[in-house]
Amino acid sequence: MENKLRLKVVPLQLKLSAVFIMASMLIFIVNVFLIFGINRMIENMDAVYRDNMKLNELTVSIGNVQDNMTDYLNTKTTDSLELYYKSAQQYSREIEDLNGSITADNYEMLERNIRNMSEEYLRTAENAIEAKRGRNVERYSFEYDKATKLYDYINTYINSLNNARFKSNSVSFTNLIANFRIFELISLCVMLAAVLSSSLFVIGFTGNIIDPVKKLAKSADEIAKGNFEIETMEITSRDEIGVVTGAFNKMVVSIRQYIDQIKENMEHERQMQEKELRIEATLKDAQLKYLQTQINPHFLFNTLNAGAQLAMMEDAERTYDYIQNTAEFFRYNVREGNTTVLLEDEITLIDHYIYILNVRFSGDIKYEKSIETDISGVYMPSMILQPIVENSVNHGIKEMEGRGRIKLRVYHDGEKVCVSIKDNGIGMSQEMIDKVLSGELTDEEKPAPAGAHGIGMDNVIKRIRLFTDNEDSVAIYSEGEDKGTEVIIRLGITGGEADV
Amino acid sequence: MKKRRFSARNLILVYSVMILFVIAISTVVSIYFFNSVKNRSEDTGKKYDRYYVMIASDSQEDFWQSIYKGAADAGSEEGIYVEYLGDNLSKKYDGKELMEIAIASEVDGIILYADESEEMTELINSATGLGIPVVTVYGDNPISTRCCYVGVGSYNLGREYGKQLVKLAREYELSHTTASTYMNKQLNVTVLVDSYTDNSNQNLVWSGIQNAVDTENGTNTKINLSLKYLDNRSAFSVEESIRDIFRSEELSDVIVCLSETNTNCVYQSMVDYNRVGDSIILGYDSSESILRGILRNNIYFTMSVDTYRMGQDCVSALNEYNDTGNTSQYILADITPIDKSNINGYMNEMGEVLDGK
Repeated sequence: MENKLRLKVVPLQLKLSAVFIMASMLIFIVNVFLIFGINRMIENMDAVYRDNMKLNELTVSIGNVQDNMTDYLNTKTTDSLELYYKSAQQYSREIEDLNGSITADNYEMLERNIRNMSEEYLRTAENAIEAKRGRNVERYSFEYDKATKLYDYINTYINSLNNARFKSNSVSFTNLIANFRIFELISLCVMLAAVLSSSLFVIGFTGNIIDPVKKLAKSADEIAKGNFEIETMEITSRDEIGVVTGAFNKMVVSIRQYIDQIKENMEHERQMQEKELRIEATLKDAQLKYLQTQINPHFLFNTLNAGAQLAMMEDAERTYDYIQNTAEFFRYNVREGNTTVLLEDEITLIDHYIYILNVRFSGDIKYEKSIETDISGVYMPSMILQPIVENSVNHGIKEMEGRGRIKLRVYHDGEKVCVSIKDNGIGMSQEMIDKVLSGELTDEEKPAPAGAHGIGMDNVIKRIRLFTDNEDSVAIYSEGEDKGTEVIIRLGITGGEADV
Repeated sequence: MKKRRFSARNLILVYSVMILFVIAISTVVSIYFFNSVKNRSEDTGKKYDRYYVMIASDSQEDFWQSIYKGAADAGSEEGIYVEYLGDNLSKKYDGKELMEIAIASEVDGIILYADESEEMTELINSATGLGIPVVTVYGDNPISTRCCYVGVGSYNLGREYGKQLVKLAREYELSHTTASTYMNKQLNVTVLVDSYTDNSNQNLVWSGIQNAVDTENGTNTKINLSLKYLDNRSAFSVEESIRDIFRSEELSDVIVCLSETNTNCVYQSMVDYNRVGDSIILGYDSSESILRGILRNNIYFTMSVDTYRMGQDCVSALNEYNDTGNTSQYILADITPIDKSNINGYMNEMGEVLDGK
């Protein structure tokens, strides 16, 4: 495995070069082989007739010797003697190349005999020359005849050998030509095979190199389409493509990680927000409970009841009513547990509250109540209407000295039961209304919690919205400064008893 | 993931295989061509110690070929190359010229069909003078310094013919009871001889025949012997002379041939001139065509000489002389008469001998 990896650390350029060089090498080797073969053939063809040429040279040489000897014997000139010696030397050099041993080969035996006869011939010729110089006429003519005979024999031998050689060489040559044809055919086949196989090789190898690039391109296309769920690609080589593939794999993984992280962060943030809201709500709830328990309500309630009985005994009926109303008002507040109440209970609480206020402010507040629909079974969160009315009194009609009016109206609007509390007080600007509805009222702008029930409008609005699960369940209308304010609460008929 | 077709390693393997393949093919082809050119000089490796030449008149004759074969086989067993001199030359030389060539070529021994001419004697003497031993075969030159003669005892050969003639005369007497020839009681015999020869062989054969006929003819039939000279001075004149006989003359009862060529010519002429049965042929040598003639009853009788053995004897005589400086002066070859009665046995024997080689 290690070996394999080491094998693969090859740059792309080197790889491609290697493919090219290898393919070329194959063809080169084939070519070298062909050239070698052709050279060999030519050499053989050349060799076929070399023997014949040699023999022809031999014939010429011995002819020269004979001619020069004859010439000398005829003329006795020094020139011809010199020429004779030269040619004799030349001839004896040439016959040294001939075979001198005894073998079974016909040609070589002919050669041997030519050689031996030539030696004898040269001796005889030498004798003839010597005799001529010694003016031994009888001797030299004898030797000359002998030499001439030998000359004839040698020529016959050379001719015979030449013919025989030529015959067998012709056969060889014919064979050679036939072989050459076969060689041509084989060469062609080998050449074809080489070209075919090197093409296959190149196709295979380049395919091998290009394959990862194709895969990379496909993967990149997938990513471009937004599909990050692709498999990581196998790195098959350590070349540049391998590096790119590796980087691509890393990139895909990183992008996937980032996306996951962002999703997680968003989820976390959402949870945090929710939690914050719950904390705030409970805080308010705690605040409320705290305020509620600031005085012992039972004690107050009992005290007020005692006062009422006392007033009854003294026949002070108005005092009795007043104390009775006050007691009822507080009793509503000291109810344990249930934060969801019936609408009519809330309205009854308003009745008590208005009564108390009218006693306090000597009947300055005109309170009109109009129930236009069946409100039994309509639930809502507790302590909603009273703060609204209190708000109206405090900011609306407290300063109006008897002209102040509050109108409570319950009516049907489609599927909803609407509770409308309308005053004719100082009114609100639209800007103010928006601020109140969006809960953006700063602490300075908020009216200080007056009295014991300092529950702010923002708390009321939030609770109603949470209860109805509807942002539009609270609406505030005012036509402007000193033109009064109307708060409308929309409740579902079966508003549910969701714990708010 | 899709499986790839080749891995890099496989490709390298494939490449190596391809290279090897190419190299293998080149090697095989090279070897093939190298051999095809080389094979012509295969025998040359064998070296010989000695070189003998055989010089005879007609290299094509079965008679001489058989002698040469015997000599060559005997030679190659002992490291001697025996050449039938003149056989592969482009020009025809006679025996004397070939002798000169052999002497100039410095051979180690000469097997010679000699005649008794003075020139031949001189040549043999000059050869032996240069240390080249000469063995004469079939034809002798007794006055020269040749070391040995291997041949047929010509006189005995003649006697053998003579005996056959007597036998024929007897048969003739028995069969021709009414024919006119019987009344004459004569058997005409023609012996074909060369008109020009330096050889005494013919004379000896002739004497042998005469002697046998004279001494052994116990019949009432007279055997009339006559010689017919054939012109042998030029190449094809013998054959022409024989044809002349068949063309012009009344054929004698028996024709005796003293060479293989003559036998074949007579036999062929007889067939050609449609005179089969007119004459009885006594042949010479046991070449295939002659044996066939006997099987067909066209040739009455032939003399078989163990020519193969003669060739062997020549080589062994030369070897002996080269090794020791001495050898026996005469070696006579076996002669076997062959006629209808023993031809099958002879052919079987020959077949075995030939197969054995």
